[in-house]
Amino acid sequence: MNLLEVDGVDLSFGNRKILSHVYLSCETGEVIGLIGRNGSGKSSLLKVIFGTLTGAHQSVRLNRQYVKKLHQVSQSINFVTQEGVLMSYLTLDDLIKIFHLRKYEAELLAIDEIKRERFTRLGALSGGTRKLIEITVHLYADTMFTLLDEPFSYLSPVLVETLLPIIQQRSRVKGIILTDHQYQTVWSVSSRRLVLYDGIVQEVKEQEELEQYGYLSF
Amino acid sequence: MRNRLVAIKYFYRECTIYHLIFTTLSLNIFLDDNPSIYAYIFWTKVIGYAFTFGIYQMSRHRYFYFFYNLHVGKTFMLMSSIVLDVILMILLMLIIQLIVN
Repeated sequence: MNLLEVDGVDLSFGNRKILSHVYLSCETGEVIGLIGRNGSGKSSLLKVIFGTLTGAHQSVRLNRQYVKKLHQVSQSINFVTQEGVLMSYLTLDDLIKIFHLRKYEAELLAIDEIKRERFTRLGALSGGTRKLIEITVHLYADTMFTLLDEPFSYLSPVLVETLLPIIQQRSRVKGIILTDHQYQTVWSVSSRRLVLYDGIVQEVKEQEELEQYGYLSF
Repeated sequence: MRNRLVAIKYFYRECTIYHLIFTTLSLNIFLDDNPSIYAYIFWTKVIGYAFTFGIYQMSRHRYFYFFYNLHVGKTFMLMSSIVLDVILMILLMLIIQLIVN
């Protein structure tokens, strides 16, 4: 069981305060759904956790040990940004070698959309299939936590349906924090939902609560 | 260790075209009959590295996450890319010197 905690995150861009004393925790087995309006700081929070963005104050702890840049800790975390992180010339077969996924090869190739594109360069794939491969590979990679920024955007409903069981299955062995504007999909796959509002993270139990945080208007 | 080797391989591949351009320029200077060729080569390569990493930072910034996901830092990648390129440059200079002499 691994525990990731971020605490006291303060982040501003110029005079604009993005995050204010944010606390967030995630442990193995959890899927944390982070919901918030555009510009509310969701992606920034993920970058702070990952270690590529530094706030004025922050404390990131992995298994109660302070970490300065989490991504530099071996097998700790990986992050799929909304733009994608893999070079176009790579193929799934390359990725299996790069991320040591031989032991999961059978599981990966059991996914039809992935299997048929094993030797195709990512740049030659449709945006949706490319994204599905990027996310699946990082979910299967041997890390304690995975951060997914807008994993469902550009995915057709059928690809979302393919991805959801993978997220749930991989959450048994790792913690996952994801954020997306398809809030109902986020809601369905998450074990805990947090809303980022006015720089502060609040836990939400019912979808109706999203209205009071200005995310929905029922 | 394996992740670092993979990162070096792919980051060098990412920068190859820019390194090649500035290596060709430097080798061209090397063939000149000029007492200050090493200073010129040094500064050509320094400008080349600044240009290469500047361009990469601006246009392919998102791919840094590929390397971060291998738990390899930016400084390590930049330094290893420079070291590899310097070794290649020295080898090429030695080969040219052997051929010319």
